[in-house]
Order: sequence, then structure tokens, then C-alpha cells
Amino acid sequence: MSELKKFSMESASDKLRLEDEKIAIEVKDWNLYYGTKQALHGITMQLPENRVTAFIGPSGCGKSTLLRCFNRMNDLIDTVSVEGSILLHGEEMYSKRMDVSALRRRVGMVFQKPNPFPKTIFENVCYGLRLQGIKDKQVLDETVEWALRGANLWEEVKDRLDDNALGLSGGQQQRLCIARAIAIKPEVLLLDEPTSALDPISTLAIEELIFDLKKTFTILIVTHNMQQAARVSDYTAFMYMGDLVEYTDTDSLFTNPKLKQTEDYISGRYG
Amino acid sequence: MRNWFNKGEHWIWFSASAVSVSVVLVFGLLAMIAYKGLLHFWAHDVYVYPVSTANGQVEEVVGELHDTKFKLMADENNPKVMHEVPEYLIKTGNRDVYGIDFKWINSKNIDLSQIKLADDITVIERYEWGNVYGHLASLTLDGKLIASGADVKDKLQNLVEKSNVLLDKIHHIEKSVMGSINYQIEELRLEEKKLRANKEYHGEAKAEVEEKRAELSEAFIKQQASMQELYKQADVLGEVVLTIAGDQKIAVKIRQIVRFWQPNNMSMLEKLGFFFSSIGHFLTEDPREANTEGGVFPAIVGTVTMVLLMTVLVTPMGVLAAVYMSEYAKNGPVLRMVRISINNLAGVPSIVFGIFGLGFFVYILGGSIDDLFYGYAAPSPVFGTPGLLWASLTMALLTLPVVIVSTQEGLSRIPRSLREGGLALGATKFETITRIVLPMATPAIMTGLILAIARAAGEVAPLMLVGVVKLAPELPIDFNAPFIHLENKFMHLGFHIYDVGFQSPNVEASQPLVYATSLLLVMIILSLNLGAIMIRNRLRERYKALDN
Ligand SMILES: Nc1ncnc2c1ncn2[C@@H]1O[C@H](COP(=O)(O)OP(=O)(O)OP(=O)(O)O)[C@@H](O)[C@H]1O
Ligand SMILES: [Mg+2]
Repeated sequence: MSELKKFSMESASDKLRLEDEKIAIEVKDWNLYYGTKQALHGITMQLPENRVTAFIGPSGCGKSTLLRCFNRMNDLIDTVSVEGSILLHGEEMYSKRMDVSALRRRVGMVFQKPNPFPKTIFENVCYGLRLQGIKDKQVLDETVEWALRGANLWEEVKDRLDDNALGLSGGQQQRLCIARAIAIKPEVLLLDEPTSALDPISTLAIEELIFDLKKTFTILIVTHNMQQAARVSDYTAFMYMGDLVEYTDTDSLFTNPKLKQTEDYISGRYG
Repeated sequence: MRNWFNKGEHWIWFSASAVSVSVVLVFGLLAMIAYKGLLHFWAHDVYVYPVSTANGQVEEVVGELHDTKFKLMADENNPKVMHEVPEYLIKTGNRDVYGIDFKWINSKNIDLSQIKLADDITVIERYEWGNVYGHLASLTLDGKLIASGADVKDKLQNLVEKSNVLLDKIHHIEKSVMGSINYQIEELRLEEKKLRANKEYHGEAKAEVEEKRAELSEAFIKQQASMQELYKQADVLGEVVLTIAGDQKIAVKIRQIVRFWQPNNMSMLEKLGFFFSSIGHFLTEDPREANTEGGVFPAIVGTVTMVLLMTVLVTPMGVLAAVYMSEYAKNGPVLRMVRISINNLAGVPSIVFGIFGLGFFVYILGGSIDDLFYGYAAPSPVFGTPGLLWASLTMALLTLPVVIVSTQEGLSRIPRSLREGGLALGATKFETITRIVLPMATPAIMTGLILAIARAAGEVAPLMLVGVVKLAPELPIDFNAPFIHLENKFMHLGFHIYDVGFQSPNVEASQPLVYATSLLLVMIILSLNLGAIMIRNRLRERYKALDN
């Protein structure tokens, strides 16, 4: 009893506050349109470094759209137009001078559905390195091992690195995609519903992984699973119909939401 | 019954019967061609047909039965009644004596019961004048008798083997050794022309050319002499004399003999051996007698080279076009127009491509190449005349739409998530396409190539305009650098069929050859396709897990 109290008091005392954080990404008055349809409305937020920030909200509210803004993946869609600014460590992402490939090396992404390349496990992980022209076998070997260990996959695949990656299970494939993303050592890692296609055990493995990874990376994660958001994230942003409704540290948002809308959503009254 | 209709069972039956009709047609066609073609290689029995002539005498016709046709003839007693009377086409050979190889005889003029196998008949295949059918009589040399009676057959066997060894040697010298010397002399001649055109043909250069030429001529003369020597050796092998119908005699020089056999004395096993050796001859020998006899080796080489070169040319063109259209070009009216044009290109008659190839590739492109690089060879054109390169290019153009369309289909099947995966790792669009998208589209590209090969190998009409000839003196690939001669004219099985079947002086004689060549063409297309399909399946295996 006393211990529990002590614990809650402790956690209250070092409660996370955005003002104390180093900021990795700063979004200012960000609007995005699919053709004439506006999908994001004047988003302004600051994303802290070496923390996990979760994005929650009902389907179609623009979570993926926003996440894809952080590595300019939306550039691939012809109809998209944007306004506002997003700064990565103070540098404007959407300026004309920005080298998009270089930006994507700094901001890695893992997609909802695992998408390994039809190559060997080894080649999948070192794909990004090879793109950078790294040929040194030793560097490649070391990085592949580091990334696979980082993604908690090494023990399972170390004896079959030359097998086709498509032969892995869904959860293994997803962890492989994470290994592939972290192998190029990005600053920020974007995860768009990384566990939605996985079984509970793989999900747990990936959640533990996220906890480890935040020591090295700034992590932004989209999820539909409230428990997951509560478990893994330090900060949570609730979005609704393209608006950022509420954004604060995860504890406060889940225990003490300021807006009724947020409360309704996290208590499952809609969404 | 109504229930049966409602379930749509009748549609299943309809489509099943449509499928079986197609299958039966395809296999029937193949079986017919195979039967007629392979019959050509069989050692047919030779019969004696006693034919009664108009003046009441009986004349013996000796030969193989080739064909039977039914002719409508009026009944002798009642002209209103028509009978179908069989007529037999007999291959009698001995063209030098009879003038023609074939004879039609009406069954009314023979007593069918009197037809019998010709005893001990010998068939000799000659390098010229076709087959001889007769009875071995004697062997002579310069009018002197060497052997007669029962000895003749064994001695003849011996001599024919010797002569074939000699002829092989002569052939080797003629084709390979002297061919190569000739090629070098021709190169030298062009070199000299070039030097003359640049006004550099004097001093050292001139001396060098002349020295080389002297060397080559000397080598040529030496080879010629050794060839003469071999010819002499072949000549002193003597000749064989045969008796043919009506006690006439035919003398055949040993060196004229390809081979001989006694079909009526052969066992089944011997006939099978003969069958396979005939196929061997057919596949490996040059054609003789205006293509109506001998083999089709140059046509096989020509067809395969042309198809492979076409594949090499069409792949990059088609793949690049498809990649541009589906990955880079902005969707809009222009792209739609291009798509429609490409689809329509597939429907343009092939002869139109031939005309385009002749007009654009041969005359304009080839002409300009000649002007630019081969000015010294004028007035004889090098590339400004139909040839292998232009034929392959024309075929590449003809098959381009198939390759483009199937490549595009393959590209569109690659999931978006994989492209995004590549891009998210910092790959540029180009890197994503070359490293991920294109390798995964290779099975689809192979499908395009399979269709292209099938179409190109069977096409004849456009080739007649841009490089295929009835008889090409040289193969398009040989042992003289640069090994593949893009400017050479070449032979093609499809055109060979047309030429043998419809342009030769002896259409009857060559009919089996037409079937045999058709069978071969089908087999070659099949095996090229099988090769491509095997490669495709291996690629598919590699990417198979993608389909889920
Ligand atoms: N390529 C596109 N073109 C046009 N509209 C789009 C496109 N992609 C998304 N949208 C629209 O933008 C809005 C936001 O979509 P988004 O995919 O970001 O939602 P989400 O929050 O990720 O939803 P979910 O939880 O279902 O993944 C939706 O209304 C969607 O219909
Ligand atoms: Mg989404």
C-alpha cells in the first residue's frame, strides 16, 4: 500500500513536461490538401527528442497523413499540396534546397503492413547502407548484426541471413523492417500502426523494442490501440477530423483529459 | 432440365467443348506435320509397277509410292456414270535419264496383283541430280572393271566411306580455311580502298598491304593446290554402274554419292538407324539442288541468330519505354494517345513493318552508315543493303508492343508498399526502380519476350524485304572476328519453307521437305519458348511469396 503510494508520488514528481524537452521536430500551422479536400487543419505541435510520441484518433482523422509529412512521403501523391512549415532540428523540411533522399535517411519509417524486399534477410537490412555506397563487408556485417539485435530479431535469424526475407513470419518481417529502418541510424523513426497486423506476442516484442529504441531515436507512433499508446508513449496527441485536438504527456491525457471529446474517445464512446 | 439450364451447366459444356476442339485442332495439326515430315526420313520400300502402255506392251516402273489421288473418270460403258479412279505418284528418281523424278500412273493401267517389291534394289543419293534407283552391276575405274557381282556392294560401301572422308576434308578447306583467307583478303581490299580514299596509299602503308596480300595469296594458292590434290584422290575412286528398268545403265561417280541403301533388304532396326541418320543429315548439312535436297543447317542458324539478336534489341527498348510510361510520364491525354498507338502498332500487318524496315533502316539508316564509315567501299553497300541487323531491328519493332504491354503490366503489379519501402530508406526514384521494381518485374518482362519470340520466329513476310535470302553464301556467325556479321544476309526456315514448297522447280519432290522443315520450325520456336519459360519460372520462384 505504502509502496504503491510512493510509486505514484514519484511518478508525479518527475512528470514529463514538454517545456523541459529538447525539441526534434517543430510543426507550425501545417495544412495539407488532397486536391481541394483539406485533410490537416493548421496543426501546430512540438515533438520531443528521444521520446515516444503516440498519435491516436478515429479512422480517417489524418494520423497517417501527418506522419507521412515528416519524411515527405506525401510528395509521391500528385494531388497533395501543403502549407506551413515543419522544422527538423530547426531546419525547414519543405524548403526547395532540402535533399529529400537525405531527409528520408534522417527520418526512417516503418509501415503498417510489413514490406520486406524479395531479397535475403541480410540484403534487406543493409539495403539502405548499400544505397549510401558502403561496400566494406565488415561494416555491413557489423551494422546488420547491430540492427537485427536492436530489432530483437538476431537470435531468430542469425543462422539464415541468406534466406529470402519473404519466408519469415509476419511479426518477424515487421521486426526486419524495423531493423532495416534503424540500420541507417536515422534521427527520427516513424511507425505507422506497426503492430496492427501482428499477434499479441509479436506485438509485445515490438513494444519492448520501442522502449529500448527511444534511447537512441525519437519515435513517433500511430496506433489504434489505447493500451498500447498508454504503455509505450511518453506523449500522446489526439486527432479528430484533421485537427489536433489535445496533445500532452500520456499520463495526463489518459488520466485527466482536458476536453470532453478526448475523454469520449479514450473511454471508447466513439471511434 | 430447367434446373440444369438455370445452374448454367450448359455454359460449362460449351466452353469445355470449345477447349477440346482447340486442343484437338492443335494436336491434329502437329501430328499431321510430324507424320508427313518424319516420313521424309524413312527408307521406303521400292516397288515394281508393271504399267501397260497404249500400244499393248508392259513397261516396268520402279520407285517409291509417294502419294495417291482420286480422279473422277467416266465409265467406259456408260459415260454418265463417274468413277473415282486412284492415281499413284511414284518417285522413280534417275532424273538424268528420265528427265523428271516423278511419274503419275493410273490404276487402270496396272494389274494391282502384279505389283511387287523390287529385289535387291539400291537407292543412291547423289550430290547432284537426285536419287538413283537401280541394281548394282559393277565398279569401274577409267573404263576398267574393278568389281562385279556380289562384291560390288561391300566395295562400294568402302569407297563411299573413303570419298566422304575426302569430301569432308575438301569441305573444311573450302569453308573454314579458304573462307577465312578470303575474308582477310576482302578486309585487306577494303583497307586499301580506305587508304586510297585518304590518299595514304604509298610508302610504308602500301608496302605493308602488299606484303600481307602476297602472304595471303600464297596461302590461298597453297590451299587450292591441296584441295586439287584431294579432288584428284576422290576422282580416282572410280564409278559405280547400275542397271535400271529397260536394261539401261547409269554410271555414278563415287565422289557424287552421298550415301546408298537397299531399302527392301533392310530390317526394321536398320531402317530406324537410317531414319535417325537421315535426320542428322537434314539438321547438319547445307541445302543442295536449289534447296530441294540436303539439309537446312544455315536456315537453322539464321533463324536462331535472328531471333536471339531481336531479343537482345527489343528488351532494352521495350523495358525502357514501359518504365518511362508507367513510372515517369504524367498521366494525361498525351500518354493515353501513346498507349493507344502502341496497342494499335500490334495490329499493323507485318509486311508494313518490312516496308518500313527497308525504307528506314536499310536505305536511310544503313545508307547513312555507309556514307559515314564505309565511304571507301562504295559503290558496293555494306550496311545499306538488307542484312541480319536490319532484319532483327525490324522484328524488334514488330514485337515491341508485346514487350511494352507485358512489362507495364508487370510494373503495375508491384505493390506500392515496396516502392515506398525503398524510398523511405533514402533511395531516389531511379534507385528504387532499378533495384527493386525492375528486378521484380523480370518475370513479366520474360512473358513479353516469350510472346515476342513466338511471333518473330514465325514471321516471314517482312524478313523477305530486309535480309532473308534463298541461299546465303556465308553464315551470319562464324569463326572470323567479330564472329557475328550483322551486315550479312541470312537464311530463315520460314522463308525456306516458302521457297522450297512454292518456288522450286520440283514442287512434288520437295513436298516432304516442306513438312519436315515446318516441323523443325515449330520445334525451334517451341524450344526457344521453353527455354524462356524455364528462366521465367526460376525468376517467379524467387519472387513467389509476393503474390499474397
Ligand atoms: N491519397 C489520398 N487521396 C485523397 N484523400 C486521401 C488520400 N489518403 C488519405 N486521404 C484522406 O485523408 C484523410 C486522412 O487519411 P489518413 O490515411 O491520414 O487517416 P488515418 O487517420 O491514418 O486513418 P486510419 O486510422 O484508418 O489509418 C481521410 O479522409 C482519407 O480519406
Ligand atoms: Mg492510417
